[in-house]
Amino acid sequence: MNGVGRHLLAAFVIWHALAMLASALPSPGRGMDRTYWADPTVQAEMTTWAQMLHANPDTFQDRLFEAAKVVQGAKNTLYAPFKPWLKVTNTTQSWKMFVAPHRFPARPEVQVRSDGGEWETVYLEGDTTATWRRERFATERMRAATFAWGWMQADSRWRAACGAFADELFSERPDVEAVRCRYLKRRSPSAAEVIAGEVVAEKPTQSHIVTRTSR
Amino acid sequence: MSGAWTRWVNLVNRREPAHAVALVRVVFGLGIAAHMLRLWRTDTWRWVWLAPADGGLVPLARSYIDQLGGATPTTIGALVLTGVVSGLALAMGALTPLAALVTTMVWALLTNVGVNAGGSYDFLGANVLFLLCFAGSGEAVSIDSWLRRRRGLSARDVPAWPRWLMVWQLVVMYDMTVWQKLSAGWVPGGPADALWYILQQPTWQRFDMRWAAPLYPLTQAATLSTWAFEHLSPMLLLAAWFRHTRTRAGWLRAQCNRVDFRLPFLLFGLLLHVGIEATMEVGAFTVFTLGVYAACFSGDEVRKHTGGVPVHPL
Repeated sequence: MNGVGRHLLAAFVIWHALAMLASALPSPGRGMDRTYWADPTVQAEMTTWAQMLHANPDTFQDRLFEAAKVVQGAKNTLYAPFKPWLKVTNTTQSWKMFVAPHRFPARPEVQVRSDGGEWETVYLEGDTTATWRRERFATERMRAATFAWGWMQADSRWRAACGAFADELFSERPDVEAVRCRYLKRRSPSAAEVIAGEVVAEKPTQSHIVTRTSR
Repeated sequence: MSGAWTRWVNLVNRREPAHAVALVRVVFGLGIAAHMLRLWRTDTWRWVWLAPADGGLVPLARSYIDQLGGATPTTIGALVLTGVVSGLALAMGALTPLAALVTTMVWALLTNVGVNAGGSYDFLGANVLFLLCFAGSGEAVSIDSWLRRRRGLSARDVPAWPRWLMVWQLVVMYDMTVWQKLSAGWVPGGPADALWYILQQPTWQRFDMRWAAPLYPLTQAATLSTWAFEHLSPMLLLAAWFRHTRTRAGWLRAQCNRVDFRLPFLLFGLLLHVGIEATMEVGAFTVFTLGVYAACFSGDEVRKHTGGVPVHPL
């Protein structure tokens, strides 16, 4: 490459490197929705941080939210010039990876009921006996989806997914009259609790029932 | 024109053997082909990339695929299979520029359709594939280069800037993720229990991890060392730069070049990602990240260790 092309390339590399950085800058993102803060995992984090900083938990959360607004605003400003380029080249990026451990995780369960009987579990994450569509659920994309839908704010998607599960189960098993999808949520045990043999019970949440007659 | 700008122009326009980016290409090609094949074999693509009317689970996002007639089973199925074929072609270096372009487009089209059904590997895949389109990676370790040799043509050097941007990508990824690891469980001074609780999340674990309870202090050490490792990532770029300019003067440069920082850093990263892969299902992320590690070495260095050819400094 000669002449102007060499300079244009040099400028382009700077442009793209800055675009990568602007896109990747930390931002609260979904955390700006304070309804997420009601989750026990988030509240546990807030409490721990407030204790570490010797702050009042309520005041701490309010100040944190104000700081988050500033950070998000700065990110938006820095990101704006690069946004069209990043969109066109599909090179946006975000690195919110294991920002915090989910101390109250939930796992999806799919059940069926036939002839007015008891609920039968056909899929339960981590269960080796309830294995309906287990290979699909085990893919990284379905793991990501069921993780996201396990938050109350995404419950409408979990409900929609339940309808799709029901359609497949109704088609495969003529005896099934209803399908129930729900999450089983519990506090993760500490290492000390595991060693002591303590068991933390799971509680069902985000339960949806789809009947054959409703489809 | 300033001297700094001239040096920058010269650096960006530098060329080198293609061996390092060729390794990145092989890893990404195989990773994408394997990923698409798994989604095809398990029919997962129907759940995550089709509309509910066609067997998908949730309404889809608006994306470029709407311009191709929408996310129909025919379109999406064809794209998934195209991803398998183009990924393999990319890995083998067959019609490499075309394979890189097609794989990049397939990845872009598919990963933007689904809602919630993706992860950081989507970003890493998209960004590195974009750079591979400019990298000339088919000039080494490829069917293309083999055919060139058969015609009596020698291998051509390729631009070095895509590889440097891949290193930058690695640094950005590690450093930006650690600045967002805000849990008290991650940072020094806290309980350092982040890794323990992450390993207990049923979403990501490959198997029940309660057996690790007696190893809890080890998970604490791993938590803090992961946090430190990610914070140190900018040093990777600095170390690569000092290796590249090792003939220049300067006390700091000389001290940094006494030990090649890249080796312990990347070795730790390798152990970290192998550990993650052994215990958790995080998709193509492990493979992609380790693939970019190859970009931390110059084409000369990789060629030296793969072909015994005399080498220039990085």
